[in-house]
Amino acid sequence: MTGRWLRIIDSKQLAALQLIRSSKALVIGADELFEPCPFQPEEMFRLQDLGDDNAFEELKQLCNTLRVYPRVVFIDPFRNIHIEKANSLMPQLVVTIEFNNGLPHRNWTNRFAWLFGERIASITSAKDRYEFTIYTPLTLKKLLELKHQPDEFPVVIDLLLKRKTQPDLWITPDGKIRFAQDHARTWLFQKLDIEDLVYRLNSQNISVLATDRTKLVFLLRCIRSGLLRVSNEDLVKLVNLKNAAVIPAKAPLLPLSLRARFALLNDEDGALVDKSTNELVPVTVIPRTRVERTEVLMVNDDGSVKWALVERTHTELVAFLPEKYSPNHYFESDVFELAERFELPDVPTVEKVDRKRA
Amino acid sequence: MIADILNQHGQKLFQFQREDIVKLLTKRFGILAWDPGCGKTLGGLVFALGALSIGDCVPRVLVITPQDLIPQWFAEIGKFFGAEFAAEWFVVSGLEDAIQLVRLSRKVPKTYPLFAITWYEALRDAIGDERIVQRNDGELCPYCNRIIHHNGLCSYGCPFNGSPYISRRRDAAWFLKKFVRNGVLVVDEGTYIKSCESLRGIAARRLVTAKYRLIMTGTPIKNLLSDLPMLLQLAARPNSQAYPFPPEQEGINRFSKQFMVVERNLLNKRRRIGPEPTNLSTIQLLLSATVLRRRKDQLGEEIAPLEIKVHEVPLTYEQALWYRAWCDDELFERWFYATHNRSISDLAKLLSRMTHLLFVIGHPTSSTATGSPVSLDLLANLPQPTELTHKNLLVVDLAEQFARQEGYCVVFAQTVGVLETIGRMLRERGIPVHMTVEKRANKLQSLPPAKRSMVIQKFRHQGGVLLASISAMAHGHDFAFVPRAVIHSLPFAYDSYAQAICRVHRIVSPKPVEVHVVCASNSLDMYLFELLRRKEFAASSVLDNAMLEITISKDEWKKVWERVQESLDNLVVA
Repeated sequence: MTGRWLRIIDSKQLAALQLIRSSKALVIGADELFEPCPFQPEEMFRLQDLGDDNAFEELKQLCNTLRVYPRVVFIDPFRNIHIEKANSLMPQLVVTIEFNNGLPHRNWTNRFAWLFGERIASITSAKDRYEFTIYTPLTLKKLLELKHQPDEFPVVIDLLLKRKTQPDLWITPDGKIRFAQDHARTWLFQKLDIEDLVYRLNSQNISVLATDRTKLVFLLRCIRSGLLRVSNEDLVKLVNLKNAAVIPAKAPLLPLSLRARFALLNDEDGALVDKSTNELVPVTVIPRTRVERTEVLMVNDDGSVKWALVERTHTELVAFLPEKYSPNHYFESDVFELAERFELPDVPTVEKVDRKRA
Repeated sequence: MIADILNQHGQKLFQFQREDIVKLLTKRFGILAWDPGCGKTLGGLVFALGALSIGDCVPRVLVITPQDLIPQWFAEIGKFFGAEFAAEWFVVSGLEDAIQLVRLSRKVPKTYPLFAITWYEALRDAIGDERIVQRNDGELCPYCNRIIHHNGLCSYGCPFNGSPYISRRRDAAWFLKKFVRNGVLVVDEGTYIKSCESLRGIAARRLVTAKYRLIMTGTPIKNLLSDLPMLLQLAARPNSQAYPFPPEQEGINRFSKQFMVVERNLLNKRRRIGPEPTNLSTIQLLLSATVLRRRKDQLGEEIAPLEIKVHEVPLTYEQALWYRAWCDDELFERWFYATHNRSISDLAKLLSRMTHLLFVIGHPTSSTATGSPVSLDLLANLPQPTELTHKNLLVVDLAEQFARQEGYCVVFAQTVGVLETIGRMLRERGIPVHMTVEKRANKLQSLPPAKRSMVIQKFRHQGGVLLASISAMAHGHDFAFVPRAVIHSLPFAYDSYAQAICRVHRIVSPKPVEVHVVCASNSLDMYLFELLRRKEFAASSVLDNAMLEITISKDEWKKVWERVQESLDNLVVA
């Protein structure tokens, strides 16, 4: 560092700069803006390399659920969307560009402070007269601690990139369940505390899951919450497996009627399979009451009779589909129409559930 | 192994029977609800023997059946598994037999199989009284003479240790539950225990200690959906995965609240559970785990065809006059006031008059046809009725013809009083007659179950004509050997009508079955028959195997009555 730098640096600024120098930073926006930045991070990866907005949403969801946040983020402030994206990732340290050029703070620059914490340093670029400003909500102690902790965010990025080519788990054509075993996935399974489950299930026949409903439900919950990625085809297989994983006491004696299969949708993982696209369609089922007014003959205590108005409350289930489907809700009495377009869940009969005894 | 035994006796299981029993054995419990005549008795026997051959239960088998079906059970055991096996069965006719059986069960080795059969009333046979004693803390126990500590505890080994009772009433079921514990229980005609209050139901439900439990019934829902919880409780046990409801009345209440329509009276603001089922998909899913229902058309087996033939007969001149008299509103009001001295509701009036009309058509000399205690002819000028009606004569002709052609014929009647006349006329023609009714207290009534079964056995051996009440013969009896039946008079309930037909039309019926229904033209008889046929169609076309009630609504009764009144001028009289 030059003498001019040393003049302006206090201990917090120093800690921040050291953190930046030793980190892999995420760049949101145009990375060439940060080329003249005097404090370069160890490595930069660009958000746009991850893909479209879906990839960003996935990253955001992973960050929130795994509680892994980017350590250093470089933000190109020329588009509000970049600032919003950065804010939603809750970074611990942010570097952005300002044009104050030594002037006192203007109102709009305070926005960064509201979003990203204290403005701890602003270093002018020799070229183009930019100011590279550093914001952080952390204290000096936290900054120093962070420097010695392993940075998990690059693994999350690696995980997202790996998922583009291979899901976290898949079912092989011979009916075995396989989990990806690269570094990012190993880290993910460790983070989710499912290493043991993965070790036990990897390369096992999927029928093992059919007899262990608890594990299967847990796995499906992880998939549904976005923690694990699986292809749509395999997800359908797993959901069907869940229906198959009934205990003999609850298994039907004869194949289920369509209405009874409709009742199977009344489950937190309730889903239909679209017959035209073979896509899994999540369904929410709620009981609905219908009140019917009619008259009944009422016998009084003295033996006389009269007509009395009564309300009869009927209960029926209604399945709500995503809005893109029309109609997007079906009553249980409409199950035949529903079954024409979608494959309803089913459970095997008792002799198939307990083949050993049968 | 079981198939081999059956083959030795020239018998075999149908494909559906084999598959369904395997399902039930896999599950270890269930309600077998095949349509009547599809071989439930054999199914129950194979279930019990299958459970023993699996070998994961104690080899103790108990069958509970209505008393009049015991001979039929023995006949089936002998037919399918040989007379030697039938001789191994113990008949438990009361408390003493139950105690003896439990003692025997303790003495013989655990691996030696024991088979027992009993009936519902025998389960209730009891001894002793319920006597509660107040055992206060600090007092001396009258038995062991030790000081009673807290909660009635005195000394280990004392029979009263911790018990608030000095003596208890024990019934046969209390002993039999020890016999059948971890064994096999088969309950025939399960609808007998549908009520949570009936003593036989309470007694039977004690036997839930069995490891394998099968309840058999052709009509799991006789009237209402709320008939089911007690059957489910015995089959699947309360608070279980298959029946997630508490035991007894509380279970019925919660089950009804969930699966039956709640009716709120806006006049008095009271709530009650209505008869209609609701929440159908959930109930179907719940029942699919316990109830195995198959209608005759779902068996996948060729069964002998059934033909229902209707014979229309005219009324006699006297019958027509009585018929019209009962339809006269003013005359009926006068008669009702003279006999009951109070007013009558619309529906009661309608049903009461229809009953009188059916008796005028079926049994004109009965007190119901003429009016009791005040005869209607005291209020109007009516001729003396006679039993020589066209209907009775045709029934006798048909019965004689069928008995001579086929050797067997059954005549079912709702108006049982007329069976005496029909029996006399058939005897005069040299036809052997077997009556399941007898005169008691000057009134013709159905025989008690034990006597009834003896009459049926005699009919099976001797042939001829069996005269039976349509409602008393509704359950369990197997008349597969009878290819012809005549229905003299119809019941008001669809299930009695359908059950009567199922007595003769069975999966093992060797010949095509004909049921001849004799109805008076353009009268209530004919309209009632049409209504029952419509119900039959509704019952067979119920979607998704939904077991919905096939009851006749008030509106339907009103429509029938309107037709009766409209057709008064068109009565066929000869």
